[in-house]
Amino acid sequence: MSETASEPVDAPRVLVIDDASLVRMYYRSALERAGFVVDEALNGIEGLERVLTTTYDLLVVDVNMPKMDGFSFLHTLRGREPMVRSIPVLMTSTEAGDGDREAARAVGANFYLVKPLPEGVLVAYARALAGRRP
Amino acid sequence: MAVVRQTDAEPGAPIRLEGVCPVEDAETLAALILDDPNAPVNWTACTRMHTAVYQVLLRMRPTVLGPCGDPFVDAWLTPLGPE
Amino acid sequence: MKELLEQFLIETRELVQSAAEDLLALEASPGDVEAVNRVFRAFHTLKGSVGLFDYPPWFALLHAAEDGLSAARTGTVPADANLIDVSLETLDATARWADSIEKTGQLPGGATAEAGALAERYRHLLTPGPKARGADAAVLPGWALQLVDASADFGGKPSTAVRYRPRDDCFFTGDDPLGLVRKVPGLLAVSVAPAAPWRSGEEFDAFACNLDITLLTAAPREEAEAVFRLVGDQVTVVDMPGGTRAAMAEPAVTPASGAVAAAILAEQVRVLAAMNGSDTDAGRLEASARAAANALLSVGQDGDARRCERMLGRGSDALREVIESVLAGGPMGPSPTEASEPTEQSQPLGGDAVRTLRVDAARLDALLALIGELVIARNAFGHLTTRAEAGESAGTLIRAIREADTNIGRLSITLHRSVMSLRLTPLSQVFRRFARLVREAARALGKNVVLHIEGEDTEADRGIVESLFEPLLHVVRNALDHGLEDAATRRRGGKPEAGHIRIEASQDGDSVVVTVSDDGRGIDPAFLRRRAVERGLRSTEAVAAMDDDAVTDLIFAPGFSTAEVIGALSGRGVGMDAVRAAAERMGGRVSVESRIGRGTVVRLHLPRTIALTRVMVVRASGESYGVAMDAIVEVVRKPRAGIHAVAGGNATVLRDQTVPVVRLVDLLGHEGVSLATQEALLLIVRAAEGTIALEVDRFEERIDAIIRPPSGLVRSVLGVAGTTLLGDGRVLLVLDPASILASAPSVGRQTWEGR
Repeated sequence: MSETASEPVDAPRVLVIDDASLVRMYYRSALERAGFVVDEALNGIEGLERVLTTTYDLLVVDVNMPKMDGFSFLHTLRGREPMVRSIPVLMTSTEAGDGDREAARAVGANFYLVKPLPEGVLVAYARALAGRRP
Repeated sequence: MAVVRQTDAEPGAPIRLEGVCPVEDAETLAALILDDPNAPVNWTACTRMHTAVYQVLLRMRPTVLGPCGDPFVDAWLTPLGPE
Repeated sequence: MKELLEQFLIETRELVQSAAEDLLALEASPGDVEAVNRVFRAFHTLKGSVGLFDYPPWFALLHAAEDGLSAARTGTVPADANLIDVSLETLDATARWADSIEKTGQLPGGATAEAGALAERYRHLLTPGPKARGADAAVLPGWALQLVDASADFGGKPSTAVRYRPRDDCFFTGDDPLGLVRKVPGLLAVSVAPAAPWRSGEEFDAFACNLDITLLTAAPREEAEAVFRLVGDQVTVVDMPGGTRAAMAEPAVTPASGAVAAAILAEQVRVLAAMNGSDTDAGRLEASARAAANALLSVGQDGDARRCERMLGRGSDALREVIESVLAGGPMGPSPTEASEPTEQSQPLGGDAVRTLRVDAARLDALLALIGELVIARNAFGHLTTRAEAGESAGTLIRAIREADTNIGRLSITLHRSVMSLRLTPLSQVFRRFARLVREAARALGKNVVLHIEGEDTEADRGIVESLFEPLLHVVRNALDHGLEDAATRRRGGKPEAGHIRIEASQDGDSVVVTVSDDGRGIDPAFLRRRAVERGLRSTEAVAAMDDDAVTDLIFAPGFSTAEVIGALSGRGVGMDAVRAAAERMGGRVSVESRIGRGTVVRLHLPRTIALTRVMVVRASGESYGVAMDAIVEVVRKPRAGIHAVAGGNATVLRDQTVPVVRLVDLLGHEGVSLATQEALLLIVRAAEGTIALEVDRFEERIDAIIRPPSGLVRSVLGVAGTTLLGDGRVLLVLDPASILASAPSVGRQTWEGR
């Protein structure tokens, strides 16, 4: 394998915040195929550290995570400085009920999708939220 | 009429459903199957099947050949329901 | 995917191992909260991992397990031996299934049944006792649950189950029961079985229907019922709640980008609605604006995207309105501020999407007739050439050429007009959207409102019609929010409880007048006077000198109205400056008329077509300028003696009316040489504050021009309505007298105070 680490200069950058390594791996492979540069964080605390040091076009955030869950993360994020608080967020959870969906809305998630996410759905919403044409 | 069987067919030769099979075909089909209970029914060329025709197949349980040409039946009603 | 699967198997085994250890630890020390947490987390992760692949029964089981453990975590059910047992068995099954998948790529036979049984035990833990044995099972008939089990696509989402038992003679009455089933949208499962056992021995009657048809659909109940409305007596419909079975992997589809963008836009409206004045509001607003703009960019609606971004400073309601208008299929055209952007200026009013136009056949015929005339007119030049060659005198030739030129000029103008008329669209396109909007807004406000719409057949240029929605929305919203009183107030005022809002359109020569009137409380001029002074917009003396109508007009002044005013204003205010800006950008104007306690009328005068504009070319201080003829009331030559110095400026009397006189050079800020002519040449123009006379040095010509919006350097020059090319290639600045006066308040106010 001679994969080069080159990234297109204008490639959209997405941060996946999810405690499940397999989910991160799946998102990474799907999003990279769709032309995203993908970073990963294991929970809200790591996610915050990353967003404060790197510029992202999109965050894909799981609800249920140890240490700092998706809601607390997002609440903190939306209260930060302008460059950081305005990043579009795609929130994901395994809960299909209205509870998590409403809660996601209330903390300012820009879209909420129920896991498991088919690749096509993930990519379509990630692209649209990051402002990329299909 | 879209139920086809050669008049001089050997016993066991398939009965063919072709094109649109309207309600009247139900009786013809039932008679043919009664005539030769071992004849299979080839429904690959049937493009749309009336409920009555489907009911005959459900009731008489002939062997059906190939995928059903009616996409609705093929998608939702095969294999024929439990006996 | 192979790599992912390998990783999945490794991780699954690790999770099974650690969760089993934790379960055993829990058994040894009951009540170990941390252990329960760890077990829950392991199952949660397992479920998420399994969900990445297509193993519905396995996923359903882990979902049930997670529910059970979640309840244990919150103390709803005890973390007792029952829970530990079923969880260990689930882990055992999970390990076996992982092995099977590694070897064969699929779940072993019997896995579905095993998963179902284990899941049932979890559910039983949650709702113990025979009475409560599954609320679902109690409420939902068996046939419906069977369908759910039979359906591979059932996503755990709410759905509708239908049982249809056609009458036995239905074939004779022409029914095709399965024909109806074919029409059901969003089918998830269909089952056809004999309604009664087939009677053996008896002759089979092929025309007697003996079927029991059951189906499951993702469509809502009403849609399912609609399909079966003619056989309603033979149908049972049951709502299936979500989560009846766990979520399954959705079909591997890529949703259409337009649908995705629309879904994202709609979600932003909800996110914005959820704002609650907390310190994260700014972030939420910005993120929603960005998400909405991005979604629009992703489908190539860059203009709309920019509109969303621009709403950032205007608050969540403004952003919501824009998103809603885009969602309503609304004006895809540039917003009021957008016309001044270089990227948009080459576009006609209207949008950036590819469009089709329906053309009335009669209009097309008229156009073809004109082309015919144009061909004939061109032939005239052929004759002229022949005559020139024959040595005809220059004098007669020149006259003939001039005639031909005039003729072609006339035809080209008519042709332009005809082409523009192809773009005419009825206003009903916009008006229609208000019916629902008003009804919903009225309900939200708890007001009883009757909406009248008239003249919706009136036509205007497509660009005008499409740009009309937003300003009209502002006006109608204001009427609803602030114009109409609540029922109690209306009753006290002796008015009918229901407020009336009337949206009317009519054609008035070359313009279209759109009127929004209400029978609400009207606008209080006394309040407006106070407010204008408080805001420093006018002096106390100035407002005292203004009549009520002029005062009412102040609501359009930029910066006059802010949200804090609304309550006290007892009338309009919010965004009326935006309405004026929009109207003016369309080449129109807006006016308001109001009587306290009687109501308010807002009139939008808009051009019917974006046609050639008649421009008067004038000279001032050695430069030529254009002034749109429709701003000019009349042209007057006045002896100097007729212009008098009054306090703060000059004025003249025109038909018994005092009209302030302002020199165009002064307005433009040029150092003008005062011409000591005998007569003053005055353009009487309509400005925001009334009629005013502009003194110019010379009248030149009247031309028909297509005015291009200002761009580049010119854009920053105040008072320029646009530019047009003169025949000799010079660029003519076309002035907008009203905005020059508005931007030179000292001149305007002086003259007004001196009136």
